[in-house]
Amino acid sequence: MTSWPESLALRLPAVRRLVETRDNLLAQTKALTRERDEARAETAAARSNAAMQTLRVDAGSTATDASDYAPALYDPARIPGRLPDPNGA
Amino acid sequence: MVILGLHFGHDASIAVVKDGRLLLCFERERRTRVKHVMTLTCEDIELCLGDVGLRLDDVDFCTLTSTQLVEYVLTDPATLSVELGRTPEHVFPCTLTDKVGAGDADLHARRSGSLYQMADQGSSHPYCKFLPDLPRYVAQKQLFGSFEHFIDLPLWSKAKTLAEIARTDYSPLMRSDDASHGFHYPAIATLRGRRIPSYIFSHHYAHLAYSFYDSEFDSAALLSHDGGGHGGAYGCGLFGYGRGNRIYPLTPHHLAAGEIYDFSGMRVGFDLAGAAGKLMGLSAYGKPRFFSQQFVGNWYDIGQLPPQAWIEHCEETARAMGYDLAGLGKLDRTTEPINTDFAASTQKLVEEIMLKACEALAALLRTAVGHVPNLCLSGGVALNCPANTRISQESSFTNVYIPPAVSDAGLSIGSAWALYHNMMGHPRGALVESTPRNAYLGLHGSATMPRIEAALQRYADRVLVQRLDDGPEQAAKDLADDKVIGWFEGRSEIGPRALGHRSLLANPTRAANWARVNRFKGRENWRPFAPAALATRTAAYFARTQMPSYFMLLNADVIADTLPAITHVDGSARVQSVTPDCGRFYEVLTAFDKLTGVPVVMNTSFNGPGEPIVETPDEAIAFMLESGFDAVYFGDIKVWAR
Repeated sequence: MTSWPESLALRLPAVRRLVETRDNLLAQTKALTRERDEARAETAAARSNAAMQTLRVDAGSTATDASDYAPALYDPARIPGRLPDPNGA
Repeated sequence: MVILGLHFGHDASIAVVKDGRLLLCFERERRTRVKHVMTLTCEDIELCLGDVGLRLDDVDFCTLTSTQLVEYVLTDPATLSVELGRTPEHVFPCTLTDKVGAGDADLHARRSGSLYQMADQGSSHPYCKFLPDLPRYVAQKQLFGSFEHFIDLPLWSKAKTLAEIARTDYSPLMRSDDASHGFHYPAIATLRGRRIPSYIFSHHYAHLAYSFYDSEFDSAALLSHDGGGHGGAYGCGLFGYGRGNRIYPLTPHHLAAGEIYDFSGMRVGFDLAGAAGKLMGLSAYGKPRFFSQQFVGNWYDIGQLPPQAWIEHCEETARAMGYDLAGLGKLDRTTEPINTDFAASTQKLVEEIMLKACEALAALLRTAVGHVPNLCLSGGVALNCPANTRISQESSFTNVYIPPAVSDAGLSIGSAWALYHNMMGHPRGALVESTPRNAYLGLHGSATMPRIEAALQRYADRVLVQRLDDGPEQAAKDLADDKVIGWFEGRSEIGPRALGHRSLLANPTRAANWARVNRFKGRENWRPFAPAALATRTAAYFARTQMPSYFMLLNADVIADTLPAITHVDGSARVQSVTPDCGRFYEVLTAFDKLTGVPVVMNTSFNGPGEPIVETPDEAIAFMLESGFDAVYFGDIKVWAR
C-alpha cells in the first residue's frame, strides 16, 4: 500500500516517472538474478554429474548405526597415524 | 558483549568482537617485527582493546586457539596465564563436559605438545624462528596445554577414503548438537589478575567458523586444511557445513596436501616459513612431469604413505627420466628443471587432491541436505591460488569464498564468532556481500596524523616532504613516470596479502619493473608480482576466474599483452579487484587509468625479505630509505629521500 506522503508525491508526473523507472529497474534486476541463478544451477548440475562419476560414489551409503554417532573424548591412541610434525606448520 | 579472540600459535593474533561485530584483528608480527611470531602478551591485548576504546574490564569472554599440538607460551605469567576451569559464566553448551562427562583431569591426560620435546634441540628448533627466546620459556616451563583433541565418533574412524566419506550419512550430526558443540572446552584466562571466563577451541573448528561467518552465505559447505599433520583425526582439517548461525563439523577428511606441499617446498630448499608461497610461484616455470594419480586422495586413499613418499617418487621418476638431481634443493639453482618440474608436479598434485576432496564434500552434503552451491575454504592450503581457482572453476560449487586471513591469523576471529553465534545462539544479522573492508582491520592508531607527523620529525634530516591537495593523482603521475612508490593508508590488512593500505606500487606496463621491484624487496628475481585492477574494468584484462577477487586468493589468465610486469610466465596473475571500499587506493588506480588508459597497477607487499608488512609510518620511511625506491605517500603527504 502506498503511504500517505508517497501517494501525494505520486501526483507529480516527474515523481511518477521516477517511480516507474525504479520499478522497471527492480523488475529487470530480478529477472537478471533469476537468469543468473538458473545458469548457475545448470552449471552446478553438470559439474555435479561429472564429479559423481569421478568419485564413483553412487554405489549407495556406507552402513551406519546409531552407535557410530556417539560422542566420546578423543583418544589419540585409537586412530592410527603420526601426530603432526612440529616441522609442518 | 565483548569477546576477545586470542590465537597463541604461529601467526599469533588478537580479535575484538563486540555484540557480534568484528571491531579489530591484529597480527602480532606487525608489532614485534618477527614474521609469523607466536604467542601474545598482555600489552598486545591492551593495545588492541585501547585502539577500539575498550579496557580489560570490558571483556566478557576470551576464546583461545593455538597451532595444532603446540603449547601456549606464557612469556609473563604474572600478567597473562591460562588454566582449565569453570566460572558461573560458563553456561554455554559443551558436549565434552555435558554429555561425555569429561573432566579437566581427562583432558590433562590427553595433553600433548611439541615444545616440551625441544629440550635437546635448543635454538635449532624450527619454532625458535617464530619466538627467539623459546628455549628459555621451555626451560622455565612457561607453557600451557596443548589441548587439541576434543570429541571423537566411531564413525570418524570408519569413514576413511574420500569415496567412503562421500557415501557416508552425516545427517545425524546436523540433527544433534554433539559435534557442533564438541570442539571447545571451558578454561579461564587471567589478565592482570582479572579471571576471564574462556573457551579453548579446536584449531580447525575456528578455521571453519571464520570462513563461514565472514561470508555472505546463509548456508555453505566448509573445508579447512593446512599442513598440520596427516592421517590421525582432525589435525589436518575438517569437512563441515554452516547454516544460519550454526557450524556443523562433519568429519575429518584426512587430507595430506598441506603437509606434502610444505615438505616439498623445503625439499626445493626453501625455509619452512615461506616454503609454500615460493613453491607456488616457482611451479609456473615447470611442467608436472612427475605427477602421479597414485597420490591423489586422502591419507587412506594413498595407502597411509608419509609425505616423504611423494618426494621419493618424484626423485625416482626424475632419475629415470634422466634429470640432473644435483641441483635439487640448491637455492642457487632454483630455476633448473629438476626444481621447477618438481614444484609444478607438486602443485598439480595439490590441485587434484583438493578437487577430489571438494567432490567428496559435495557428495556427502548432497546425501545429507541436498545440493549445496556455496563453499568456504580456510586453512593455509586455501592460500594456494591456482588450487582455489580450479575449485571455483571445476568443482560442484559455484560460489567460493576465501576470507583474507585464511592462514592461522584468522583463528582469533573464528573462535570469537563461534562462541557468539554457535554457542551463545546469536543470529548473524543481515548477510551483506563480501567487501574489501573485510580485510582492513588493523590498528586505527598506526596511521593517525600525529603519528605520521612524528615520523616525519624523526626523519627530518633524511627526507623531503611535500604536502599535496591531490595525493592519489600525484601518486598516479609518479607511477606513470615509472617511479616505484609506497602507498600507506589507514588500517593495515589482516592476512598475508597487501591490499592497498600497505603496498608497494609500480607501473605494470614496464617489463623491467619485475626485476627492479624484486631488487628493492630483496627477493629472488624469479618471483612474480600481482596486479590490482579497478573491479569495473577487470574483464578487459583478466579472464577465467571468479570475479570480483578482493583478497588476491584467485588466479586469472591475463588476456592483455600490455602488462608484462604482472604477468607470470604461464600467463596467469593473482588479481585484486579494487572498489571504492579500498579507500583512497581506489583513487590512485582511477587517476592512473585516466593518465595511461590502464586501470591496473603492480601491487606488492610493503616489506623487505623475511619481514612482516610495515605497520607504522616510521617503518614505512625506514624501509624506503634502506631499499631505495622513489617515494612514500601517506595520502596527501609525499615523502622521499634527500
